[in-house]
Amino acid sequence: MAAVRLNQSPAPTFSWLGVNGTERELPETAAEETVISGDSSNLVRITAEQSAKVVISGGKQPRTVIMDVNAEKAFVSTAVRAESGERIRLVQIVTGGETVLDLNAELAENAVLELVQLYLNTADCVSGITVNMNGRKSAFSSQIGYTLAGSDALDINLNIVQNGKKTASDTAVKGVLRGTAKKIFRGTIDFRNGAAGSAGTEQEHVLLLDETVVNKTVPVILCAEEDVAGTHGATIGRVDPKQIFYMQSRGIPEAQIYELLAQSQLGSVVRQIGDAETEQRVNRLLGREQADE
Amino acid sequence: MKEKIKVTDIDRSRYDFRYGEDAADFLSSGITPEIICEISQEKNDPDWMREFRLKSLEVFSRMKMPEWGPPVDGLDMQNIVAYIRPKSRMNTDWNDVPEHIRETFERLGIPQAERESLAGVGAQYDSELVYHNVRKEVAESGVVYTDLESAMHDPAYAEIIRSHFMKLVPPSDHKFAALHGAVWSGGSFVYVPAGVKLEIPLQSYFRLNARGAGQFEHTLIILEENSDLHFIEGCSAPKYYEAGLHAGCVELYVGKGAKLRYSTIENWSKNMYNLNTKRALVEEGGRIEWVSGSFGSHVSYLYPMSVLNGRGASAEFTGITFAGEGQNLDTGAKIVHNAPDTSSHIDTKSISKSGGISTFRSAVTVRESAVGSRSSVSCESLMLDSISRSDTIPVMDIRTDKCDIGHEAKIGRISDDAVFYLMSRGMDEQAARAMIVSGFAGNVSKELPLEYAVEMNNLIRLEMTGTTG
Repeated sequence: MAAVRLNQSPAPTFSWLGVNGTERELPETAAEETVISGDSSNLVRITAEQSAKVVISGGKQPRTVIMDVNAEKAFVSTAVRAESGERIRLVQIVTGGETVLDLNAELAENAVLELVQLYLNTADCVSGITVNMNGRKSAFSSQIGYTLAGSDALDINLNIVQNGKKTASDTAVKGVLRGTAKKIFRGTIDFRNGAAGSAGTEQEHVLLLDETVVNKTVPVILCAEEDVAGTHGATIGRVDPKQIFYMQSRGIPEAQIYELLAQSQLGSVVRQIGDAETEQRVNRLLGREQADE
Repeated sequence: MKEKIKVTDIDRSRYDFRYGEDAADFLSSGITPEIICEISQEKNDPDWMREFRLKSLEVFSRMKMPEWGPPVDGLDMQNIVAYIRPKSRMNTDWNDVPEHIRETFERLGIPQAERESLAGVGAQYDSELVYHNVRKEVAESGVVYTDLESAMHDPAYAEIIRSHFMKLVPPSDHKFAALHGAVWSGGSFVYVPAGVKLEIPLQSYFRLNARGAGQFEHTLIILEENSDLHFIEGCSAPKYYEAGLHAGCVELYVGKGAKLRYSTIENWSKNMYNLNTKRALVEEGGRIEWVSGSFGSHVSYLYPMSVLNGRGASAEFTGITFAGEGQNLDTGAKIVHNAPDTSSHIDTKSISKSGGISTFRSAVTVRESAVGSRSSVSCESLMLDSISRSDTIPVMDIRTDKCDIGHEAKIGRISDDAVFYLMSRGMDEQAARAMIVSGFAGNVSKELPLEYAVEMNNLIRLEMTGTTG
């Protein structure tokens, strides 16, 4: 194992905030490579219970790849190559222990990548995502959800590089934190010079359910092009007291209200999975989490 | 074919004049223990301050340069003159100020502003205050407005200075805070007694005339319970080819229920490195309001920090940054919510043009103790061409569930829809675009006293051309 600097912010800031990157040990031996290319089925399921390397290309038809990452300790590297006009949907369900995820995507002209990620009670997860939108009119959308409790920790670094003209990115992140959970989300939209006509949006909504949680949100926009439109937003906090009052007035006990709101927070991300079997399984995982409490 | 807006470079002719220098006035360049001792001797420091300077120098020597932010490679500390001996002692009558210094401030409009709209004025020329005066009725209310060094030697205030000086911004905060602790000179001390509310502002103006020099003034303001003050700070320098350095420090103590507005129009010349530190500690029910216009300097690191330390304390930061050719302005704000029911709002605008780089950087920290706190951040950036850069780098560090935190940011160019709307109301395109850019900066100018709003609008002088885009 070798210590490696991970999730380095493309735009470092005040050191005392501790958001410029993190360090983890990675296995030195290369994992076996799984290649999903033109001839593969349009719906591929992969389960990673140990370190893995996955290379995904598009095909003539839109392709959906569903990855389950559930390992005690693993480094899972995923490369996505979407050529001209190809459309790829990647769903990653992450549970388990000390996990390092690395996702690197390259999008050619008119290529589309839809990413759905769910982090469900990850004990210690570091996830780095880089999307290079080099092709004209390439598009990237991501729906990311997380629920963390106990001493869970999650560190996400999403870096969207919009190089091509008229590219479009849209990121929505929703999460729930309980116990002493710690989370960092760095989301960067990087408009490079020449990306005229491009647009990028990013939203994060974090629901905090215990006074001992730690939430760090770093929504960055880097811009070297005049003709672009970029927005980002974040809301972080408790349940709206009006919502609690309304639900109590309908006879729902307070403890159940928090659970319902937490479920609904992730529900919109779960519905984006687009595969009934996986959605059911995720709902079961979320339901079991509810039963445990 | 699109019409493009052209925003002219800031007109600095009003600021870009200088008078001769006398080499005998300068201490040697560089930062060494010998120079620190010489400064200390020149200023007749008490022992504790001399020791403080030398300890700060040790901290400066061992601290690293920041590993984020704009490059400061062009700043060679060995070439910076930290202290320039004054040709004039501090005066309370403009007529006693040497003629060339008086003329400098006349051209900057300071005496006129004092007559018309200020409760008191301090004027610093290079390393020392040359003028300080406060209206009689203000002084009679118990308000103290004087230079920091006089206060430090006055038995009535010496202990206050000792117990507050660089306690909010310790030398270990960062490398240039340590430098400031070692070589500071000049600056103002303001004390507003409990219950005193000043109706009109106090102002300090800092002018750096000398070539290759640094200015390291220290501003210390203490507001007692339920007092109210508006303090205005202005700064400028003529342009030289050599790098100049401004590493001032502002420490503001806002007592229970007190309110302080701190307004700054910063217009250093484009050879200046503006590495300034400003911080406010706000007690229960107190309020700090920052209004900040950053137009000048080659490189800026400027993030006024508000520490909300008492229940119900609040902070508001309103700022605009205009980065033109050769400028890399890294500005923003920091808020620490450290007590229950505190609230903060940050609202910034930035404009980048002609290769200028503007970065908005912020940190909102909500500690475990800050239950019931609220914060909102809004930043908007306008890109006027594609050779410039505009970045936004906010961070929110939240450590309690009982809070409501919001952030929004937008970046882009002048909206075609907005231009179309205004044209549909009968405006021509040039007027519509000019109105949009003026409106973009409007939230800051409306927060400034009228004469400073006019000044700011003069700084952002718009000129429409018919060039194609």
